[in-house]
Amino acid sequence: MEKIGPLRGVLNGWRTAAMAAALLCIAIVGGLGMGLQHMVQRHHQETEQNRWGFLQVTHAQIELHRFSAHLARAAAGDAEARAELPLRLDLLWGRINQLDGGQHREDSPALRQLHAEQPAMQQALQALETQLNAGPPQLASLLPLLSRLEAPLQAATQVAHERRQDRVRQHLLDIASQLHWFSIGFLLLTAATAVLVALLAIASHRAQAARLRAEAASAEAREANSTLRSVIDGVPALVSAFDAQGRYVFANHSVCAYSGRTEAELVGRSPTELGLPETIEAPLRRLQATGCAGPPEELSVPHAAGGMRRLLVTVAPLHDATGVLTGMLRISMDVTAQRAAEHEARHLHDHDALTGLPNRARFGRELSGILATPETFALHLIDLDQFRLINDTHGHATGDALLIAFGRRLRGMLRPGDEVARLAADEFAVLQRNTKPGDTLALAARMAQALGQPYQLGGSIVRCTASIGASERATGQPSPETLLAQAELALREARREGSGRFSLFRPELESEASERRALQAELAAALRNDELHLAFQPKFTIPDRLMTGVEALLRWNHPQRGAISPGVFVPLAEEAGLALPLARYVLQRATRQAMQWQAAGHAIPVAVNLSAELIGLGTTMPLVRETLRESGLPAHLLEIEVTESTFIGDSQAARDMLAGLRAMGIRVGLDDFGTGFSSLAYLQDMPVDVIKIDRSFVNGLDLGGAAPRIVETVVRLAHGLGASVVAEGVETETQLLALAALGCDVAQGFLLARPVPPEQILAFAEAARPASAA
Amino acid sequence: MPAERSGRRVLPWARRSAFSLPLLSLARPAQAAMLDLRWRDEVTPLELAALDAGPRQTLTTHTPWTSGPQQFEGTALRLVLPLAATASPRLLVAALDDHRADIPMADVTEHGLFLAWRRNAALMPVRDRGPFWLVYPWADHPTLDRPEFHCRSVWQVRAIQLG
Repeated sequence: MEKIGPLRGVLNGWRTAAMAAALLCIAIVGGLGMGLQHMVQRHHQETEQNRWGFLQVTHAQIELHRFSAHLARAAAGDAEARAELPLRLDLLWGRINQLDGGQHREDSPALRQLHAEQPAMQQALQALETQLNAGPPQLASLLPLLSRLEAPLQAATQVAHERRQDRVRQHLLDIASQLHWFSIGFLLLTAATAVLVALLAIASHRAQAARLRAEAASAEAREANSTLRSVIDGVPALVSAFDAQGRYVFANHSVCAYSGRTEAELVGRSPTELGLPETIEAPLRRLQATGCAGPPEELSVPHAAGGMRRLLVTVAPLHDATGVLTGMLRISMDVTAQRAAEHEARHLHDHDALTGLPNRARFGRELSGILATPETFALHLIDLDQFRLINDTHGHATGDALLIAFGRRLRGMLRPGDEVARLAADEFAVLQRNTKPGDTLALAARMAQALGQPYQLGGSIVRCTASIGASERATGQPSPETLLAQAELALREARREGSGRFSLFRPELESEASERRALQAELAAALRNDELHLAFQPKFTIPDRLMTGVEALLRWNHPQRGAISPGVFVPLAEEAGLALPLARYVLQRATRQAMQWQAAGHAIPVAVNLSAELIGLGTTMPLVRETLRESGLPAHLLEIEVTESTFIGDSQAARDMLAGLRAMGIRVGLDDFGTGFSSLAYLQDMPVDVIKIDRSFVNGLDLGGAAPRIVETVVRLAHGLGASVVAEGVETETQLLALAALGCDVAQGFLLARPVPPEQILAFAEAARPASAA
Repeated sequence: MPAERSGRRVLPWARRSAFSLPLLSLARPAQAAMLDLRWRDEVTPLELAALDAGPRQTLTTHTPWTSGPQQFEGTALRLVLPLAATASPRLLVAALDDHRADIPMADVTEHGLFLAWRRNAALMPVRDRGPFWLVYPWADHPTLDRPEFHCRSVWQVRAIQLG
């Protein structure tokens, strides 16, 4: 009896301390869990801030491009663009000032970097303003200033990309350090639990001894037991004790829940007898064999409810006073969630958050890796055509959904082993491995075809096409950058050819690119210096071959390169933002020429081609009206020819503008009919005066096949709509006869007349006059 | 009523200030500090100089794009809109850089959307978000300090279309 009192006091003291220790450990482990949660939140917040900065830089870039386009037009003599330049400069200036970022600057690495560049950029703006105020803009001296603005913006966008990678890396390090603290917490927990179990063992032992002496002692022992039990059951770890033979003598709630057995089922039997997983027994066996515990181990152990979980397991020996092993203690902790967080961080580090595809950094590593082997492979760069338009018309949510669907479709087309990655907003890349000759183009063609099929996104169907540029590594050691740049050049070529095209890099593309830039500069100069001129190709009635009008064709005789085809320089001009000045030039020259013919007594209708890009643009309509007014040409003598592609995208603005032109009395013609656009639906509510059958069908008239039936259908369609039909590219008498038989109204082509200088047109007109008078 | 011309609606306070509407001229230089109010096929150009000569209100608030409290001068947008126009469900605001925002009328009638043309006493040039900037009283109403309202705070305002 006399022993019970002091023991109880000791027990009480220990109990309080141990409970405090256990609670502390629970708090530490719980706190670490919340810390992980907090880090994930912070990661999302940083992503948001980085995106904000990125957006600011993009805005500035857009404003810079607008300014450059205005500048190019102003330099080419566009008075309207010139008048608007100060406003465009102010807007650009505003955007550059806003890069300061206000209170957000410190949050965005892109803005932080630009802050240092701001004084230099503002100096460039100042210089631009001074030059613009001094007189007509001189592109040569202004372009370097523009590049002083462009370079830092581009660098900042790059930084925004890279910093995202850095941030994810930091996120990973944070998790690693949290896990470090987590293991320390685990060790503390182990120590505290060991003390508790030791106390429990002592208490039981003493209680048994006491029971022999007194009945009261058993009540005492039960109380001590149950208090300790409840503490150990509350510990968020799996705690179990074994005797020296490896049979359970104790298991807390967590162990019972994990193994799906009650403590009564466990006690007195070994895990193997119970059919419990073998994996977790290894540390116990080692302890039995060597008597030494070893470091904590992480093991995959099946859970009673199914599925594998990761457990951090440690074992400790229990010795009696003589040092003989009397039992073993095992403490395990479920670390599955921590491992999952770590895994997610790794994934984030090299994957794109939206599509789940590898990102640029990971792709770069793959590319370098494969370049180190002698394998032949191909690199494809894939761009969504007009992705911005989709974002604008359907909203960003649809844009995101499209990117996901696009990535998934792309992934599904590749062989196992091929890699796909998302490099930037609407740019994807594919690494096609172990290629044989011909494989690259075959895959590019297949991808262009499949990616161009409509996408079902939620309730709506979105159409979009992809342009693809590819480069190949056959032999040698090109750098990843070289391969990417080559694919980029091929991509640009594909995009120039239209949407949904693909192209493979050839060495000529490199020289072509620099040549194109040179040509663009020369074209701007030619336009300014009046080095372009018009030729006119007459159109004749069928069958009497009388001239009914002419088509104005722009010509450029380059001083060194000779005549350059409009098929080459018109797209170049559009690329350089010169479409409008070019159109103004042609309209002015053509209407003036028609007036001169009228003064000579011949009312000759003149047709002018307008690029699809200009139709629907707010500035085009006033341009046409103004040109007509300046020249004094009656509206019915002007015909505007547009291509079918004008109607792609169901552009209401384009319809409105063509209807406006017709309301003014101008005739509207549809050029290259039958080549561009498969749907005729637009003709329903878009009346046209002239339909021009493309030369490919006219050529086909000589060859048999379906061409005559196509031409006949077009003639019927046109006549049904009240339009006349012009056949282009008539080169043989047989074609002309066939066209006459099919009911075509007018013919144009080398058979009848080539494009000629304006003076020669009068001769054709003279020839037509007596007949038309008759 | 000198401000009344061809039956055009006159702004409530503009009637009080001796402010006469300039002749409608669509072909004005793009940089003139003006704001077009469009309502029922009518365009009412508001001239900065005329607005600034009238009574001004002050709004002190922070903004997400500046540091520290800013003192804006201008007027509650409600006061420049024709009274009947506030029955329209929304306004479409266009900026000089072609940025557009769709704003519910409740922002004007309930949330105190403010048309500012002076910041910290000075008129705002285009390169400093001027000449007109729509701001919300974020300091007085922290519930408005949310991204959905931030993106309706249009600067370099060029035109406001009602309805």
